[in-house]
Amino acid sequence: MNSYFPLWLIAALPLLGAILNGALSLAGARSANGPSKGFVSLIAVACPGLSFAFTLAAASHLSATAPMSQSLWTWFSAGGFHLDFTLLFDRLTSMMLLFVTGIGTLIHLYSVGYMWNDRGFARFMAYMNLFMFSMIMLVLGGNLPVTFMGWEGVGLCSYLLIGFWHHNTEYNDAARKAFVMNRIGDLGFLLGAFALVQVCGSLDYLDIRGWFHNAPGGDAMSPSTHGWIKAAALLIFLGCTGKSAQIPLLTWLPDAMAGPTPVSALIHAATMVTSGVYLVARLGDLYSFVPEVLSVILVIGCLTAIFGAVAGLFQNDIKKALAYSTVSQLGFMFMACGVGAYDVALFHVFTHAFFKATLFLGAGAIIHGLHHEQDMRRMGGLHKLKGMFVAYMVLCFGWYAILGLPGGSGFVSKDLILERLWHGHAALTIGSSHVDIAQIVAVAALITALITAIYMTRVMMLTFWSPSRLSDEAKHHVEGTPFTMALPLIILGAGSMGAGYLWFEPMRLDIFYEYLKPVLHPNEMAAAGGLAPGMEGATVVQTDWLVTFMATVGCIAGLLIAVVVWRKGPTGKSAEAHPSSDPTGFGASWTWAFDRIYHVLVVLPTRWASLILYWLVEQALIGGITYAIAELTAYLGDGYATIQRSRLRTSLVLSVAGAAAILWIHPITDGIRYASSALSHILSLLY
Amino acid sequence: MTAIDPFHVQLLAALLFTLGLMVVLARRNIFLVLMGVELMLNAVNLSFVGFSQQLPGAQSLWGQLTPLFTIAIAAAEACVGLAMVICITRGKDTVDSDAFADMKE
Repeated sequence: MNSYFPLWLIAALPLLGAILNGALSLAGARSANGPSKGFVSLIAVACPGLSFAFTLAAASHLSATAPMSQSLWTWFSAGGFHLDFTLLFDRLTSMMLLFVTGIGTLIHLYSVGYMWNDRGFARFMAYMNLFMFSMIMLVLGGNLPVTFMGWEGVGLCSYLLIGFWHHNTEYNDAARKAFVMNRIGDLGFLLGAFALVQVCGSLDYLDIRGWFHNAPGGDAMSPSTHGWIKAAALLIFLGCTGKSAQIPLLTWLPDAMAGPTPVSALIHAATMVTSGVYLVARLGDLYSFVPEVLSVILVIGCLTAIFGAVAGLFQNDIKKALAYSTVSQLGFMFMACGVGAYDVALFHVFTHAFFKATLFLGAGAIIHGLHHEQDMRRMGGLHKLKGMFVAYMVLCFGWYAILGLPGGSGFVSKDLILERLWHGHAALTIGSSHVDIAQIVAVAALITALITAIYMTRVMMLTFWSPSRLSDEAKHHVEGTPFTMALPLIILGAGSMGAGYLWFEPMRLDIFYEYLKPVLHPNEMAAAGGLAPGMEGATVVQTDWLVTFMATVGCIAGLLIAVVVWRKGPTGKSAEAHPSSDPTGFGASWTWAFDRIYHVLVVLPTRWASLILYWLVEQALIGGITYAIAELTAYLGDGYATIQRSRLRTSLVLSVAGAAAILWIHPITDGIRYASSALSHILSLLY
Repeated sequence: MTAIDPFHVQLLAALLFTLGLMVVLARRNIFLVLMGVELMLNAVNLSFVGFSQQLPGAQSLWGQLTPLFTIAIAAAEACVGLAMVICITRGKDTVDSDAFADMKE
């Protein structure tokens, strides 16, 4: 069954699409309307669609125990270190690839409708296809450098797409911010990879896995090796916080909403931002080995989840509210990783991809219909308008799912996270005492779930279930949802309701769990053993009805609070009194605090240092030397030019004199030599 | 007929060369400058012939042929030189070489 399947095809197709569309975009750059949109969209949708088909075919070739690992060529080889360009396709990869290419194809189809009237249609599609290629490389990479290549690629595409409307300086700033914040994380990733080479001598995932399985346990390992492992885990997690917008590197994601809405759905909600979770799960062997780092991940995830949820409460911009919701949900995924429940984390990645893509694309349908109106204070009662029906229905599905009301997919995955947190262990060492913080985090997560219900219901209240605040003119110009946008919306809406049933314990459905078990289960056992010695193999699989009940009660309570508070529309200043769509709460953007800290800690010192360098090194040292040389040359040249400027005959006399001097050099030097020998002869006679 | 002392031939050549050089350097009339150049060329020719007299047979032949070559080149050079003089004279209506010191920065 494990016959050869050309895995590179999965990645090559979107790359081909990117090259074709990029060429078309360049070729049509001078024409009035750009290249044929039908042709461009055919390429753009067909390439990821075929990738999805190939992924399905590859997954059907896959056996449970033997992953497909294919070396395409030797990348580099130096000394004892050898690195191939390897693709690895196991069950974890296939799960990620299926939803990345599947949801990616749907969002490409949606983009066709959303971006149809944009002049840069072909360029947009080229970037989107390039993103698909990079994301597939990230997931399919069989060693850290290949993954890193994809990791950088998705960062680049994120930058290009956030700043897609590059005539707006704010959008360009947002793009640069995303890129720079990601670079910080990328540095962590690289350093972590170097540290890992120190320990394992290889960057291949299978070699790393093998090394950790045979690693000497406990005291048999030297402290320095253990230090290297811990450093690698922490540094790679820093990379994950950059890509997945966790504290401390989260400030770029809300600003990233400057990009077109399909970009926000595909890159900044469904796929790219979850690659941090994927990487932690992929390196589960490493992380399960160092429970201290897992606890760090747990705490960071918890803080980020709370921060994102609270910040989401104060947003006026519908996309920013969803962006903070993404930050918060990513925090949930990292919390699950923090107690070693990688499969649950990935299940939440999976369901979140469906319902968050649904929410973003539904919001995109509203923004499209209202001609780029994103301020929720100018909405209300939209479901009564003609042409908004599809957007309303799918947003209801997405809202139902993210809230975690029984039946939706968020209900299942969020419950699993809460259960694992409640029954999990996380050793946090403060001074000399060890505290198990898993239960505290579980309670915090429960409260976060309640806040999630509040802010998501607020979004729905302000958009739909409140008196309309649209002008009569705006009501008459509402644009309907075209078919290319409606079809992906309906499929994703259905997915956000049904995706949870792939792992629904009460109905004895655990396809998802069983599918990933061969890859992830050993690491989870190891993590459980590391977090609480003597508890090996005690991961919870049974449903804890108490947790489920509490979570559901929390959701409904949040829902009711939001309904009561926002039943009459927005509180606080109206859109007319406060025209900017910045959040009204506390009068500032919610990443303000972080931006301030970075301004003081990083931006200002950098500016000072560069000022000092400018005056001391640039101006005084380098400038002084170069100016001196230039001035000297200029003086010499001026002096010499006076000869040339004078009469012709003077120049001739000088050149003849020069020729004569050259002829006479030999006799003259001979004469000097003769004179000096004569002089020494005379002197020797005298003494 | 007494043979001429080779030294005297060379002395004459040197004198002619110096005269030509002095004409080139001292005179401002471009025609005279060109004449000075011709004089210098012929001084060198004289020097060649003088030396060739000292050498036997075949080697002597080279010393006599080179001046013939030089005379042909000099004729061509005078042709081009005089044409250039006519050209630049038309522009400025003068044959004073100092008037053409135009090469400034």
